[in-house]
Amino acid sequence: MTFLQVTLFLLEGFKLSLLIFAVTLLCGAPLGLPIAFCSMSKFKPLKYITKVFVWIVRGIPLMLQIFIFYYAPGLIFNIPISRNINLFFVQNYGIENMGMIIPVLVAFAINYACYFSEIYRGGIESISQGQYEAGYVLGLTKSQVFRKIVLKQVIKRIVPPMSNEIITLIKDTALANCIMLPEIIMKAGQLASRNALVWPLFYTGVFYLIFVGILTIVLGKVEKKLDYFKS
Amino acid sequence: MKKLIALLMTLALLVACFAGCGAKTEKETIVVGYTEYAPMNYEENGELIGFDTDLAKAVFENLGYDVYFQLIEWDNKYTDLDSGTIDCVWNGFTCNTKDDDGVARADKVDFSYNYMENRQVIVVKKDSGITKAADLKGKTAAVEDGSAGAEYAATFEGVTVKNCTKQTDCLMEVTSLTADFAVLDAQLAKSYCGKGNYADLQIVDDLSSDVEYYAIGFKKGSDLTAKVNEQLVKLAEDGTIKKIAEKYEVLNTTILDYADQVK
Repeated sequence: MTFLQVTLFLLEGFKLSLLIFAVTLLCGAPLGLPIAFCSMSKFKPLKYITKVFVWIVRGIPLMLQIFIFYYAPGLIFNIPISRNINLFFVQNYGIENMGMIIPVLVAFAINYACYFSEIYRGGIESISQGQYEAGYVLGLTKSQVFRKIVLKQVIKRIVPPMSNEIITLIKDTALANCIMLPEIIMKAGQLASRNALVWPLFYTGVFYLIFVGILTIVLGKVEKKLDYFKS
Repeated sequence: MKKLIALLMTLALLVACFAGCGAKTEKETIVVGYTEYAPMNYEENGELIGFDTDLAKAVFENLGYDVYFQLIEWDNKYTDLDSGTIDCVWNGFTCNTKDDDGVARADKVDFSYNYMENRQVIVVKKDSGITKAADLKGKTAAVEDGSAGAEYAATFEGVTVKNCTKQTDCLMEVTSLTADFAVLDAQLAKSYCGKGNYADLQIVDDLSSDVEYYAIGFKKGSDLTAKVNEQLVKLAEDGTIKKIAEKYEVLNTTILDYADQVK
């Protein structure tokens, strides 16, 4: 196999990695917000239920959570959901791997939503009480204070920790191969077993590096753009 | 939290819908679990072929089922069977051996008739100087986790075992010197050693295990076992199995007469 063929073959797997990355970000980031509000709720039962939920999701390895979403329905309820989803998409649309992609996406979105929620909470709670009071004195309503004063500072403050999580996310996508979802690292493994090529496994690092490089530049730009409220 | 609950419920609904849809196809589909390795199940020009692949297709076609081949992690094969992710493991599944928990495989799954002979072989680098059992002492063995080879490696004294997720990964361990030798299925070892990146690997013939058998594994109590057995006998009689075996050059180990296994 030529270098170009290997690159294209691996790119096929990296597309799946990017899909997991994008969907997790699109679902996890908004989902983190209600979780953050619930964990700051004045209604105690809601607050503690949310905290226990976040504790469980953050406390269990992501790989195990993927296994749970993939296997548990069949093992516990005797309904092999992933198998049915897979056959449904293969037979009706000719799309492979959906039975594995969906459990992976659900696990990733919930897991990352919990991490994001804690970042949001940290950001919101870091705004001093005096700013709320100043807003109220000026006659703003509660929601106006949050939108016009608090949120803008929160967004600015959470960009660096969010960037961290986002960069971790693209590398975490490799975990999906524990249920044989053919993302880039598994693709490289297939080259080793099919074509006796060992080097592509290490070459996959280049794909991640390039993508993380792009992310770093974009996130750096975002950070700069949000550089209002110079203190 | 409300949004979360709403989202989860939507998801559950969606999933329930799929669960319903999946069952509605006219022909029932059998999902066959496999790991990729020549000459049993492997891809060539984007198409899945191999002795096991072709035989499975022939058997289930005769039984009136569609077949779908699902890549699995070998280590998860029992979970896959129990959760219904797959219906059978048809992938050079050695049946007369124990797993490393000491429980015989035959106690965990229902096996079909034996359809092929196999041995566990030791694969080394050509310049390793390993020729007899005593040479293995103090060496590291790469084995597939949960494989018959892992069981065989444990029978040698003073061998450190290193688990891999695929048999083919074991070959990589030996070429990259992270292991001194690999313990693999003879069928697989023969088709890889001496080719491509594995040109400097060879099988130590004197250290091969006693004969073992391949069979198809089903979930305990599955009614497919008897149906597949019946087809194996039929396909052996009409020469289909022989034809497939010749195609993949495994005729000398393929079982063509099931008379002594039919009860």
